Amino acid sequence: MYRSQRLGLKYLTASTVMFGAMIAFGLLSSVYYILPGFLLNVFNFSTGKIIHIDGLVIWLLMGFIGSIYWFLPEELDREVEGIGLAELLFWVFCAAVAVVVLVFIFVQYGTAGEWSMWFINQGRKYVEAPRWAAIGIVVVALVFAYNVIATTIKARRTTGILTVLIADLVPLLVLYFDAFPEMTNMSQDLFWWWWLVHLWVEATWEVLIGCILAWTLIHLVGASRRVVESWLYVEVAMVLGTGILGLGHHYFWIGTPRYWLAIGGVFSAFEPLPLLGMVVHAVYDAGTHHLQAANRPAFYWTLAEAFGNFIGGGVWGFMMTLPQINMYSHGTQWTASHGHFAFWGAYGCGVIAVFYLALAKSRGCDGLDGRAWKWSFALLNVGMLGMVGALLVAGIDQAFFERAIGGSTWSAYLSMQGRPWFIESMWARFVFGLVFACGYAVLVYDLIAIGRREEAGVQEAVAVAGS
Amino acid sequence: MTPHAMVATALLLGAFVAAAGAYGLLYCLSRLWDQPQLRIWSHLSYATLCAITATLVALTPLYFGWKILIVVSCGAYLLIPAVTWRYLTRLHPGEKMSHDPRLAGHVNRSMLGVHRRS
Repeated sequence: MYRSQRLGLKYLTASTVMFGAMIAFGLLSSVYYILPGFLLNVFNFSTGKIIHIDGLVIWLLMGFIGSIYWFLPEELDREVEGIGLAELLFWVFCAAVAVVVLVFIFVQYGTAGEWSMWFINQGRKYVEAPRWAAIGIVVVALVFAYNVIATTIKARRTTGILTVLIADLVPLLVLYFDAFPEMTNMSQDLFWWWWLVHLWVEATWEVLIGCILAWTLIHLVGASRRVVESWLYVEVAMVLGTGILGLGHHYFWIGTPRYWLAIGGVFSAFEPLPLLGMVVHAVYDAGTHHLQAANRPAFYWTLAEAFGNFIGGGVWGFMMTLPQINMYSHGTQWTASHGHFAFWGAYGCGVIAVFYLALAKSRGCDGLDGRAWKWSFALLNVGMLGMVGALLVAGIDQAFFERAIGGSTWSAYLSMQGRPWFIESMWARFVFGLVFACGYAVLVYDLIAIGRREEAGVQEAVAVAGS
Repeated sequence: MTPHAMVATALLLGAFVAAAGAYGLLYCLSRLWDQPQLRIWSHLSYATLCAITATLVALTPLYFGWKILIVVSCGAYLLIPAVTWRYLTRLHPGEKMSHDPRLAGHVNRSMLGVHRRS
């Protein structure tokens, strides 16, 4: 195994730890909805939510970085350039994340000034990490980009997937600089902030996961590189074609000109089209392999990715994306339902699939199977479906009573919190959150245990051959 | 738009994409397994998609432009599975998958990364 692949495994492990932290703080945040006085004056709801959402961003980013460090040396048949620096920065990254989480938990907030912005909370939603940590993320991203590009240059060759990946790393990095400006005009601030949030999630990350899944298909089912690369180009063109101007659906109610209503609506309506193409591709690949692959967990998580992306992003998104509906639904639990489902489907399942793929090789297994992964697969997906269903009911209730009937007043918001459907939905979300957490516990157990017997057998065989 | 119309329209929009997904899935399965029954179900799914489109156009207070967009999308959803399928089968002609023992061997080798070193 290459050093880069060992580093990839470390990143995937750290990503799984962050996944757990995200679940823990998501569960904690969900308790505030059913016990409103919970941890009053001890731990703010907003801080729990920050760690939940930032944890999501970090676990997925670590998962993507780990996946690429895993596949890159195999792609170019050589060790990654600057691997020593990358290994050092992995520990710096983990330490920085730990410090930021501890500051969020124990300090939580400060006065509105430079000190707070640099050392407590940058104050920008989803990128709240204090400025020193945000600069650290830029350094990690720069080194990561250097690793990929320098290795490709040193290898004196490239592949279609790698070229797409390198082209994607540039906007991925540049867009993160959007986390830094300090604008006092709220509309201007949101206008540029959405470039970071939307164009990461619905453009550059889509391309990134497209590249990772292309490699996954090649290694998982022996798919032809020519096929995978041709399809990757088509998907990237379609995703970027609809996703870039789909940005408009975030510009509906933030003080931007009226034409964004039309642009956002039209391009958002087209966004499910490439997702349907991905479903067709997934069914084709799964069907031609008779739903069989040597690494069954990775195979099923890859399938879950295609379907989850379509349903979470496409179905849930289109329900609320046209401006006439979005006027009532945005910012309600309806949006949270869409967000949970889409992130899980589009990215979460893909990262888990790569982890299983990497484990098979690192433990010297011909294939992976067992019972635990099926339990974790079922519990995680049932938990997620239950949560998004509960949030959908709560969100529709909110859009109906609080927004459409109540006129979005503060009084309507408060009375909404006491409505039976809303409260019952919040309980259901909490219960299914627990199911999801159980699925995570089984997943962690399985990631630790799966393939160990084969690994021990391989080590024994090596020892016998050596003696 | 009344509160009831808002909820009904949103649910219809969700059902619109879900029906398109069901059509795409059943279309692929019917082609994959050459099952006439599945083909009938895929046609029924597309008929459901058309019925939802007609309902959205006739009965919801969406603006005219959005209704046009929905009709165009309904047409696109008819084409996407067929076009994608044709594209994939043209790209894959040499590939017969896991029932072929040689490929199964290839899958195992590629998982172990052996094929790069052998």
